[in-house]
Amino acid sequence: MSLDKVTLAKRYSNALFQVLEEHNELETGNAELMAIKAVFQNDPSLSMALAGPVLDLKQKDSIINSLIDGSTSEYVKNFVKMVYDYGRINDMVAIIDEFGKLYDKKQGIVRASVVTAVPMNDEEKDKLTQTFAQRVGAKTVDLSAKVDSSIIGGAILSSDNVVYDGSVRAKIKEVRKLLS
Amino acid sequence: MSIKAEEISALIKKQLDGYKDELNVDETGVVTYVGDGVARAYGLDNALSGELLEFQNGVYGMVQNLESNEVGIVVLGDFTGIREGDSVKRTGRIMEVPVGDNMVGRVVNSLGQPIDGKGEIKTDQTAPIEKKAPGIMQRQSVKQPLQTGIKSIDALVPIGRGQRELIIGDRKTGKTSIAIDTILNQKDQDMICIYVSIGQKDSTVRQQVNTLQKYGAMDYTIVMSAGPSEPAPLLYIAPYAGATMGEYFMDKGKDVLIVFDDLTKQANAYRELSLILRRPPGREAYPGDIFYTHSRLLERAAKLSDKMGGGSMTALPIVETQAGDVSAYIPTNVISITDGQIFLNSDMFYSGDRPAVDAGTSVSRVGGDAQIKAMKKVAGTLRLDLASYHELESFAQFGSDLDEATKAKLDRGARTVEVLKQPLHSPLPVEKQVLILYCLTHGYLDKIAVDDVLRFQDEIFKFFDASYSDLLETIKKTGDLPDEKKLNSAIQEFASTFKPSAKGDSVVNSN
Repeated sequence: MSLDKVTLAKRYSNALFQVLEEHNELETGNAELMAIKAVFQNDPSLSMALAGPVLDLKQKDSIINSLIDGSTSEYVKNFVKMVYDYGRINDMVAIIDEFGKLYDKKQGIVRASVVTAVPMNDEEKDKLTQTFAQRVGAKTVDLSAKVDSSIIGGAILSSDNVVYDGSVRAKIKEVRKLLS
Repeated sequence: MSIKAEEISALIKKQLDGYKDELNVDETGVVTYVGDGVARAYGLDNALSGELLEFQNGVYGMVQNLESNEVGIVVLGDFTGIREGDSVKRTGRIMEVPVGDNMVGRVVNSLGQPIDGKGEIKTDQTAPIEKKAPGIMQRQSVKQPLQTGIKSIDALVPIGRGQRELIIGDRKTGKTSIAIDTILNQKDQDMICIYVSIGQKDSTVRQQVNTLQKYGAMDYTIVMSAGPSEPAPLLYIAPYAGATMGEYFMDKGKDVLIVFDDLTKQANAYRELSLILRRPPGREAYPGDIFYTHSRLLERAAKLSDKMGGGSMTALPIVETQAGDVSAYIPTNVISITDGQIFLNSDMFYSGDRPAVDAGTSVSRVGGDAQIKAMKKVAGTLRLDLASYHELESFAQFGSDLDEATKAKLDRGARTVEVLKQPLHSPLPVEKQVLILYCLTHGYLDKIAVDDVLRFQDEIFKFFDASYSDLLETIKKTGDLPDEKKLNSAIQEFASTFKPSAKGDSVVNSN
């Protein structure tokens, strides 16, 4: 049985993380990897083209080279080449995602998204960020905000597979359950 | 009737008392695969095996597989509304079904929801469907009889309360009928019966429910049905849910009879689930834990010790064989788990010997202790009689001259087979079974033509009911035979008035 995507991504990202850490290139490496990830995500046909049979090897090589031209870290360059050579280019985004998780953990960053009924101002955002950072014990919280009026009021905060639902919609639902 | 506003607000107030303004913290995952009653979800790192999960659209699921990156979930309900990318959250509870006295008389699905159109079931108690079976010290040995009302079973393979007796046979050999007749015979016995139908045609179940209603058996029966059109997970959990409902009564010190009809289909449903969950297949493509699936279910049948209230749960699992092959995987498994089996022979069934209980291969490993004394006395030689009859039967077909002893054996055998015949849905009380078997083993039937045996039986029952009901009463009360002199003279009195049928020539008919 072939390895599933998640297991594979974990292994590659772990190795990459350790190499970058040893050579103190985590900061730059992370920034470059995020840039590469953005390229892949902006153009979904890219990984398909690289993995597919339509382009010949030379063309693929030139795409890969142009992809890592701007990179300063030798290890990131090697990493992209290796992933391509091993035919795992389809899993690139997943590997970088896993790398991001390791990096966040190391730096104490927690990513969270919040849904509110009305847009929050900066003061509210700061307060929420601080409270949440205290609660989960993180150094920094990277908060992305969304607005959804169907939750009526309150906020729904989700981070790392956990949903903190303090919306009015959920409360009304609860009341309805009690009354039925 | 006028509605008072204050009353309503008071009621709402009371209900809202339970409301706490708390932040809902849910652990969620994302569905990555869904199909065939099974879903997989990414995330849910802390989910427990067997935990109940709720999908975004309100359908529930149960965690079955914990893998390194994913969990495998069986969907308890309609899986067509679930999409890839949906969220699924932990509930922190394990799968439960409603239990209670109000379940009795109802037809429910495997989640305990009513499907008989009689409205909501008012019970506020629930119990987990998977429960550990009573341990050694919580049990006592099986000693009270459970009368099935079927002569061939009560005489040859007696069943005790708390026993697990397998009913096994090919399709259409009367397996379900034996179970239903046993339920019918529990009328006024202070017994709660649960009929769990797994993968049986809805029309058939309807028919069984009608039968139970017609004979007034629904008053003490719960019918649970997981039809063939339900998703496999519901078929898989049905017997556990039924056992949970039974345990409620057993723990209250009551006697419970539970029928699983049938475990072959449950095994098939579990096989389907396991294969879709990508568990490695074993023999006949069943997963490795198929034995445990059945053993942990049947182990829940027990006779509790007096300290625990002395309740009991008797299980009658049913297993279907293909062409009489009892050495297939599921039949051998369940035979080894149970305390005996009632084997139904299709050849006997089609030749008119109904119920088609095969005396040679049917056994009861513990029921003997539970048989009443009178029955033990009259049924002791029955198995031997039948065995030697079947042995001689084929031999005697050559029509050669037979010596007296052989002939006597053949005659006795033919009458034994005849006495053990019994029509559908007409269970007999134990004292009458003892009476007719007494007549048989003491030679009173030897002079009666084989065709007359059943008429003799019916008439002697009427005769005893009218003139010697005290003798029947003695058997019922003491469990032992009454004064044999009195019994013999009563039977002789009847035999002298019994008129054989006009056809006469009994000897020719008998062979």
